[in-house]
Amino acid sequence: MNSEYDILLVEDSEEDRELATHVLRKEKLANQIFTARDGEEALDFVFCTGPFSERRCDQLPKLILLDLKLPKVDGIEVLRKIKSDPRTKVIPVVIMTSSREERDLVNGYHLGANSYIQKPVDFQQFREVVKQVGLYWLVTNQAPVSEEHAAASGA
Amino acid sequence: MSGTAVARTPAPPGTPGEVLRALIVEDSSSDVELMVRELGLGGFEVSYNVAQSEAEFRALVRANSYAIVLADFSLPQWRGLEALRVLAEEELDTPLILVSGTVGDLSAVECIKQGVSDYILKDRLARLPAAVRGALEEQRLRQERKCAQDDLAQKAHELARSNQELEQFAYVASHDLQEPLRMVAAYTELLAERYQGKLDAQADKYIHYAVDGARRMQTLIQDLLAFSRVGRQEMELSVVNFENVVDLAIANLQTAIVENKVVIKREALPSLAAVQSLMVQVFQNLISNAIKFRSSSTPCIEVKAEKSWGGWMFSVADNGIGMAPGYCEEIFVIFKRLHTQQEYTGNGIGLALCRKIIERQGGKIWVTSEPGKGSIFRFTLPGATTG
Amino acid sequence: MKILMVDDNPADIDLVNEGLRRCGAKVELCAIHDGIEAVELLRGLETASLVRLILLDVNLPKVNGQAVLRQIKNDPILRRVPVVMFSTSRAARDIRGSYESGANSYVVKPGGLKDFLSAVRSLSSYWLECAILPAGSEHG
Repeated sequence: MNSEYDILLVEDSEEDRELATHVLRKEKLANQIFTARDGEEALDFVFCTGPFSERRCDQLPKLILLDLKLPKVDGIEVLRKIKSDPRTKVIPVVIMTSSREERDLVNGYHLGANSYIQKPVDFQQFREVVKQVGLYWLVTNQAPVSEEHAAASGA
Repeated sequence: MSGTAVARTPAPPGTPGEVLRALIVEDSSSDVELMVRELGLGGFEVSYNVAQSEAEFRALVRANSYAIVLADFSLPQWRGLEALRVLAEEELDTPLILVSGTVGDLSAVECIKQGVSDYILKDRLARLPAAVRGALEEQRLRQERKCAQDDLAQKAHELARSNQELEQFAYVASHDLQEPLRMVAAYTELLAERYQGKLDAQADKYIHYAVDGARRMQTLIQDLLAFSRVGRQEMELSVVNFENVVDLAIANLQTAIVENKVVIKREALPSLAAVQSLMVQVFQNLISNAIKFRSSSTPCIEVKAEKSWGGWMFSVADNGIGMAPGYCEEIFVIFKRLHTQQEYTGNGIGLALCRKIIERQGGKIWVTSEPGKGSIFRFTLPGATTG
Repeated sequence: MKILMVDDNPADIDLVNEGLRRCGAKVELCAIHDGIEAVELLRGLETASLVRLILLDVNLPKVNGQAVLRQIKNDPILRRVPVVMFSTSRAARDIRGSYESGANSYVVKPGGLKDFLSAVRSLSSYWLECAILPAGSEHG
């Protein structure tokens, strides 16, 4: 079954994963959301390797929500790999993290992250931020898709 | 050593003469005479040169144009088969016939595989004229085919250029035409907001016409572009889940559905090869029409699919106002409408677009309807199901 | 807080201003028609630190939008400012090309007034209130 994924959500906290997915679905912002638990799974998904070698790699997700602190391969490395491959560098990547560290911020931008969001600790605020992010990147923003897609997904 | 004898044999009485320019690769002058004589008996008027080495051969093919090469397999200085290589290097299509006593370690089949048109044994020279005719005919056909291919290639190139021009036009139309229109639309609306009710009733009416006109024109240009795009673009088929498609179309029409309390029933739908975004457009158009042309009862729309016609047949049925059977074909014609703008809005492109999309994917679309009894739009798509 | 808008269409600049006014965004809109001037303006240090967002049209006279984009993104200081391509063009090559040249985002200018103002609201609320920028910028 080849459905286009709107979003790749890379988050190791199960709670945050479920909450984000729930908000995006409830607000009807995204139909197809793929969640990856760690950097390795995320990269395999994006590059259609390992357990995802059956995936059609001509369909890019419209948005990648990327947590920085991940097991196996960390967020910065995932970002670096995605932004250095010509096939995938155009995918909008929004970094979501609880870390306020400056280095991460600057690194994120140096490697071409499209945007940087701080995850609120507060449950309700987190929901609101996810909704805002979803609204902007999936509705307002124009992801790099083919022209016919752009025309058909209409008003 | 080298022979450049040019001789003319008289055509046998009664046989129509054909002038054959031949290049003969042969070191025995008596064998040359035999070949020429045999050709003469076969109805050819032969004008020939003889070559015995690669250098001579090359010089002669460069200096003259020959219809045929007759080559002995082995000469003291050269192998007749090598002549093929020289011809290829000189980019000549001249057919070569091996005339030989022996072929050494190569079989006749092998020679033909290497590009020899025919192979004649010297004690069967009587076959030579027929072989020459055969080789010349083959060459003629080859050249005809090449001409046709070149022609085709040129037409394909022109088509590609023409398509590119069309695409350029569509891009220009899309951007340049819409730009001033966007300004008109936005600012008439701003005017409306600012002055509605503050000037007189006449002014309100004028502003309303301007706003409405600009909006309709924007929709028209977008629809026209969509229509032309479908005609031109490659249909990139992929496996599409039609349940997703219909759900997407419904999501896009959410406002109208909620406003008009529309009930939509969707049965199980298959997955088929199609272009997803275009199919979403088709369902969006059909459902939007069903909502637009609703009757006074609660709008109810049913989407179904059944196996049929070697593929699948989808149907979108409504309980709207319907139309006279006589119009069922006309409404698919571009710009054709059955109502005035006052009665129902629209530009008459929607169904023409649906038809184009369906037909370009190998299907057919039609409608059955009666006034007051609603309409059923059906369309087919070819292809086996998966999943 | 400033938004820099690089666009040669004064009508669109007015529309964006109207949109910002309507959603009550506490931000000043600086508009420049020329891409080269825009980059020069940005290089004036005090201005750059206050610019939270750049709205950049694709089709500009003299130097086109993507070239301006590249200049901004190749500059080690300026690259921090988010650049949103704001254009009527839906052409795949413009969209993809912009992302490839480092655009943070691409928004197609909507055709209708309501949608246009809505897009402006979405742009300002996301980039000014939701997103975080590297050190040196005001937050909130």
